[in-house]
Amino acid sequence: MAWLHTWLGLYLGWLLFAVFLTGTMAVFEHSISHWMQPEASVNTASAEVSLAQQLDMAQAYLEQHAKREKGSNWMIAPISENHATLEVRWRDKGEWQEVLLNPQTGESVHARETEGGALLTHFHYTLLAGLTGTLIVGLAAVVMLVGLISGIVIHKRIFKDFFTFRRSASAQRSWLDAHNLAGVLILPFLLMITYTGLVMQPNTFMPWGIKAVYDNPRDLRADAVQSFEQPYQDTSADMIRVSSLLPEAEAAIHSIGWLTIQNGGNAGAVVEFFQNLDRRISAVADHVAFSAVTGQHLGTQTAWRDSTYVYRGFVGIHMALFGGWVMSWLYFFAGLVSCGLIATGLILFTIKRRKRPENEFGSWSKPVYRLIEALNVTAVMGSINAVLVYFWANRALPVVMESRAGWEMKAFLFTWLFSLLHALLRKPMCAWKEQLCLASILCLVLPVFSWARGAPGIWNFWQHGDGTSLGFELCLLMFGGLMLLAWVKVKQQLQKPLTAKQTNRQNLRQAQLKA
Amino acid sequence: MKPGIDIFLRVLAGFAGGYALMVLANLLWVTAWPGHRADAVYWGTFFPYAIFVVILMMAFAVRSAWRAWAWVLGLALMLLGLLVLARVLK
Repeated sequence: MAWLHTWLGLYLGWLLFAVFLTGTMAVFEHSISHWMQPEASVNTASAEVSLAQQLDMAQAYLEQHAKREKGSNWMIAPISENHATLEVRWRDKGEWQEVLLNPQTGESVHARETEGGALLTHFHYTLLAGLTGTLIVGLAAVVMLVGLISGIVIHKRIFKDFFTFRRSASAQRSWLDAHNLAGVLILPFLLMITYTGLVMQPNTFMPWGIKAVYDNPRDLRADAVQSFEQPYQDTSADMIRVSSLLPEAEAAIHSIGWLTIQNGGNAGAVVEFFQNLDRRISAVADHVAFSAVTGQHLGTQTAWRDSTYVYRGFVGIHMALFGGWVMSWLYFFAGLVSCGLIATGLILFTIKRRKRPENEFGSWSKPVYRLIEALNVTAVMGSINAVLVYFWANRALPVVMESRAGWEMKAFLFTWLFSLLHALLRKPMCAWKEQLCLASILCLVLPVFSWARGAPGIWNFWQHGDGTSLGFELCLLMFGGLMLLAWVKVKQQLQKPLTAKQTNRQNLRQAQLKA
Repeated sequence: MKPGIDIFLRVLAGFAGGYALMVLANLLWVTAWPGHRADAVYWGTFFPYAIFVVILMMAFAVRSAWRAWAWVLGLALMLLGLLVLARVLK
């Protein structure tokens, strides 16, 4: 079991760190997107516009701009606690068009092109490599579960681990204690988040089960979510103001999260209101549909299949859509501790072998250990720096630019490559030190740099009451400070001569080896 | 047997065998479920992951790679048999 834990942990730990880091950021996906589009936030920060007014503006915009065709689907996402802008979407030639609207004027906001926090979420479960990436992440998740269970088996002293942290003992002891403490502290969270992450994607990991009973796998959704669609008709028709249906919709489903209009502008147009997903743990949205032409009530779904409800429950506790800000922060911190668990595990592997090589790779051991040291730095610091460079690219690139979002993504991905090159060229401890230094500079300077590039400064966020962006930049400063501390520690360690105790121990070991 | 080959066979038994058994268990569940097919699909995806995890650990815990493969093949035959039976009975 120890062998399994060590080797699967090492090989998949590199990937798992990046997955857990981006997953932790994904908790605040919308907040990150909000910070990454400052053009959208300044105009709307002080706005107090009613839901009905927002719907009127959104509908007017869609009727003017969105494509009218058979099977069209328009969407309106009003301002909510974790969605700071009024947004409309529709599909054009299979591609989603997304437009942010100024809720005071109803005009589109020309915000910089960016994937925002969604890029980190996509990386979290696809590695930006589509289906193949999802399969790789799924494999890593299975290995994570094996790592957790084999970790429990090899320690056997869960309760004691909870209270053990020998900070001043040898480096290996401290790292081991930190690894155990992190693992024991959030074991339930880790088991939950890894298992639910797997269960969320049945179509990808076990497609044959669905195909065995469904000729068309899409029918599964139809069995779970009632459809109130109307047939497309040959005549177009003027739609009523959908906001006039709000009282009836609110009576049916209590809170409105978003709405869709199918076959907009057609005589068969249907408007459907969906409940806010933060109302309960299971991520199901009760919904109510009306004819968008006559306003006639077409149907309401508030009851769910038990199996669907449990399945969406797993989705809900993975994505933490419930529980508001408190729950988001809890998930965020649990995610950070998970990252710490993986990072300490990776570091432990090399610390152990720096002192007493086990020569698992025969005559190749030395260069392979060297490569592992470099990959550790890349996996941990490379991932952190990649996210930070992505934020920097958002501010550094010109606001208007051809395929801007693509360049942001390239900056994100190429950081790993540079991190690896650097880690291969420099001594391991120097690589850690220098990349830590870079990360802390990236964190601490970004708020100033962002302001210098024309985005609002941290005090503007305070003035406008934009708590989301303010929180984002305060977090940057806090993490910058923490990494500065880590950098100082590593630097001290490199300069410090060995203590008498350590020298003794080294001499003793050498004597033992000779004997 | 050389340690490298032993490890390779275990990795193959653990990952390929574990995945295949998971998929088979899922298929068996969905096929044998007496109720609505949507329930069969949803309930049937919650538990098979445990099989993958257990097989993966088993592959490295048993004494030799051959034993790991014996377990994987034995369980696969059993699940296949049950699957055929479930299809026939339906």
